[in-house]
Amino acid sequence: MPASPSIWQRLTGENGLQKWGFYVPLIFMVLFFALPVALTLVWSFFERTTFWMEPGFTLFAYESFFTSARAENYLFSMMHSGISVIIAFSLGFPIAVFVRRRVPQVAQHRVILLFILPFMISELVRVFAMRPILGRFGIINNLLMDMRVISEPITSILFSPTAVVIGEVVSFLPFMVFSGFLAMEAVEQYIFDVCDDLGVGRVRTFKDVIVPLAAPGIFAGSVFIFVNGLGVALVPTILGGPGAVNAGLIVNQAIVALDFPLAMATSAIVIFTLVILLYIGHRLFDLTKILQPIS
Amino acid sequence: MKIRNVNANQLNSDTAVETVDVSKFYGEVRAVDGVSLTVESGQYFVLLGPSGGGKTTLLRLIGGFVRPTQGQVLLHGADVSDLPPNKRSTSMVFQSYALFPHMSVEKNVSYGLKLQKMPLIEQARKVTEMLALVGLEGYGRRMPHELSGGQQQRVQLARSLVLESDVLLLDEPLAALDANLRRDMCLELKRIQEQVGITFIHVTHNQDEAIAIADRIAIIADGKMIEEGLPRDIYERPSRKFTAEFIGQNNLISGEVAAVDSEHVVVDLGFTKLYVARPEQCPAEGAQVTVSVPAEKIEIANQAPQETGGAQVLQAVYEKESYVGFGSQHQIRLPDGQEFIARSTTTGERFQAAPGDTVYITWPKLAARLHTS
Amino acid sequence: MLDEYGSKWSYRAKWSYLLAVVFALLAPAFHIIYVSFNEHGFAARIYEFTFSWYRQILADTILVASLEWTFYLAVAVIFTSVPMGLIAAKFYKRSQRKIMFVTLMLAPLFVPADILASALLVYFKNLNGFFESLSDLLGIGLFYGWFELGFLTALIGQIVYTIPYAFVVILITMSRYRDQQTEAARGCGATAWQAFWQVEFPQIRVGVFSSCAFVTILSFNEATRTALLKGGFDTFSNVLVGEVMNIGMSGESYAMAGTLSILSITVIGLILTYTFIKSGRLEREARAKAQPLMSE
Repeated sequence: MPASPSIWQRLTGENGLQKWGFYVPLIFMVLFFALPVALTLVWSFFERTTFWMEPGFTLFAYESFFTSARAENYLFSMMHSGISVIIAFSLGFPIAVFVRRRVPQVAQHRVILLFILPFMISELVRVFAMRPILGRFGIINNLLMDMRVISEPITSILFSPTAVVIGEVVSFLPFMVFSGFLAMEAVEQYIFDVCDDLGVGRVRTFKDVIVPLAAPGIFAGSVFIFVNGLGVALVPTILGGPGAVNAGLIVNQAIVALDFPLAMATSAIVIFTLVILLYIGHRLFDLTKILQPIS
Repeated sequence: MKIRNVNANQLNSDTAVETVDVSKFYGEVRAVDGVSLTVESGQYFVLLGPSGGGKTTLLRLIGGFVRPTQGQVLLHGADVSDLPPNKRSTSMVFQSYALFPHMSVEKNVSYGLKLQKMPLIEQARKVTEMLALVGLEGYGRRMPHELSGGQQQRVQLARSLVLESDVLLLDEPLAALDANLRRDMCLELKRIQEQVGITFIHVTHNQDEAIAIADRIAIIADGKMIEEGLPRDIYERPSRKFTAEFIGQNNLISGEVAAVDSEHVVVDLGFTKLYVARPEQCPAEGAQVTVSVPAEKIEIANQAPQETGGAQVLQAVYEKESYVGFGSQHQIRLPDGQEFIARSTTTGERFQAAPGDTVYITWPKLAARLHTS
Repeated sequence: MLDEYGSKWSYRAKWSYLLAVVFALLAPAFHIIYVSFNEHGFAARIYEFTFSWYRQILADTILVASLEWTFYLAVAVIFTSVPMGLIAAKFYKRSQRKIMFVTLMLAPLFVPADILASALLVYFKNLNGFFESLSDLLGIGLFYGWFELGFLTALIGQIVYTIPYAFVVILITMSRYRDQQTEAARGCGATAWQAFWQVEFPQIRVGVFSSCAFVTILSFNEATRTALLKGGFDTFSNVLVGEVMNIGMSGESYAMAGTLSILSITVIGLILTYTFIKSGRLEREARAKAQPLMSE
């Protein structure tokens, strides 16, 4: 085969056009994700006009956030989210540990796939479905009344922070199981064998061995649930009632009121919270370890 | 840096592959560092060296899977450094996992022909021919996962050979096979190469493999070419110290050149002086040199031999014996503490000594080699 | 059971717990489906099976229109998000700065829907305004309405939402693929595209199709981002949210919720079944491939 020097074609033989094609996802994500998110900070300083906003620099939006009930609500929602995380962790992480430890390697992924099923059911449906369960004439009340535990239906479950917490746990439990499992991929089977061999007790194994190894994944999953609890308006809207307002709801209300700088300010605050959490997590645990199974 | 200016008219058909001072750097790491070698048409050329030494990278540079940082790769005299693998006249056989699992053996072998838009009848004919050549007649319909490791390698071979390229590159093709199979496949490869007549460049870290089949061997380590030559020369008369350490079982000992005369170089080992036959490239007095002696050339005895034919005798302390199947290995300690290994076969009188005994070793004068680097 | 000396009962208890959690997460949806087939709606004590609520959906022109929009959106998302996920996966495998790239690709998972949607909303309005001023400046009407809130903006919002999932699923499938095969194909004379399409794609096909299914379901179920970013149309999920908020849980909403659930469960159920069945066969094959019989 005659060989002739030609324009360099890189290993995978791309010509100029093909090579640029590879950058499309990157460019897309920068244009339509990174940029808008970064700009929320800029926009939060704009001045509000009747229907829109004007470029400028003012702290008015932040003022109206912090001097109103919104800041308080935000803090409360952080607390609720935190509780959701703890409950979800307690319910979901042991499952991940169990699967990793006791289920044969080849079947592990299949078992975890089971949790895709609830995940794939619309969040709307899962959250709506809580209404008939938690409500006045709902299943829980009916059950408790039938069992004669209570004589009157408990009205305070639905439309309260409790409902929000329950709703969030139900929404995000599959994520906790997934991220827990991903975290547990950092714990090889032989570690369990070593612990058994050394005679390390259950609790100590968990505390000293499993948690440190799985920490990056646990943290990532927790941050995910926490931030989504702060920022997703759906759950408080459907289940929350007047007291449970989170940042997502604030943003929605601001947009309806055409107060865009406020919406941006609230978004910026949530994003800021997210970044701080991820940064702390990375310093503590080196979150990049989670990506090992993928690479 | 040498750059050849060649034009198409000067296509040199005797030299199949030539690398001109070719290098590949990955940041600080010099995977291949200025290697210049020449492979003639029809040769079975082996790149031998330790793992991670750069021989695979060198092969991939020749094949077009890696682009040189510096230097050139020439195929039949033409510079192909800028060409991707599908534009070069080379074909590659990989270590493993390179068969297309979703295609049958037939489809695998005919893939390259299909790309060339060859008529189906032609394709079928060539595939049958090639499968017969590699000893897999009738296996056309099988799927890769139904084949054993050795069979999979044969299919790869067929797939590459059917393209009738000039140069076949083999990247540790036998590494995934067990020892028995490796020996057989090794000779198979040589048979096929002789039958087809094209150039083979074969990478391996296994010296037995290399010595058995190569027409020429190049030792590659740390990205550099250490030495190159006929297998016999590399084995019996290595010129570099690294080669002596890597190939065969040689005992190495360092010293300083005390004197040089017309026939010998006198090397001062500290506890004694060695008379080594003077090589062509003669070192100067005072130079640091290494002497290597093959273990199998060392004769060991309980008493100092009377007749040595001019060879030197060294006294040593016996340490232990290890049985190695075809013979025994004797570990002895020289007066300065260094260890020597002598090999004896099980035929003839069996040498015996107890640990701590004084023994005497000697070797034919010409068996020792002098290395300056 | 890996722990040969462990207690059988503890193992069974844990398995039961696992299944109980899965069941608990699924139960509400099944309950909804159950109710949606009841003539008398939710609170009734009597149960009469009927399709009437579903028929009502099909009769409602608004709902049917919303179904159409949902469908168009889903198709559009598949043909944009999945190919981009595929390209991103290939890019990832060859890129030097992997961590930065993966962070960018997976970050949308961490930004809550409302936050992201509101940011995109403002972004699009600004972008639209910018292009319109550009048009005015240049005196041509070419750039008018590019980023006006409508189908395109809703689509972009959903792409940002679904790309991480497509990316991860395809990447995981690709991790089982050996690059040597692409090299071998190149060595046989294939161009980069031929090597991809004829050798690599057949082996990652399953991952690509799975991510198509995931992306479809995610798109159908999604309401928040579409709500903020759409223009004059509504998707099925949008209507559902609106109804529940305004009217409460009517028979129709149950049927709508039921539709979504049945769809998701069917598609995912099929994929899971297929995976479970095939993985038995694949395991055997993979073991044969990974350790070919060493002696002939």
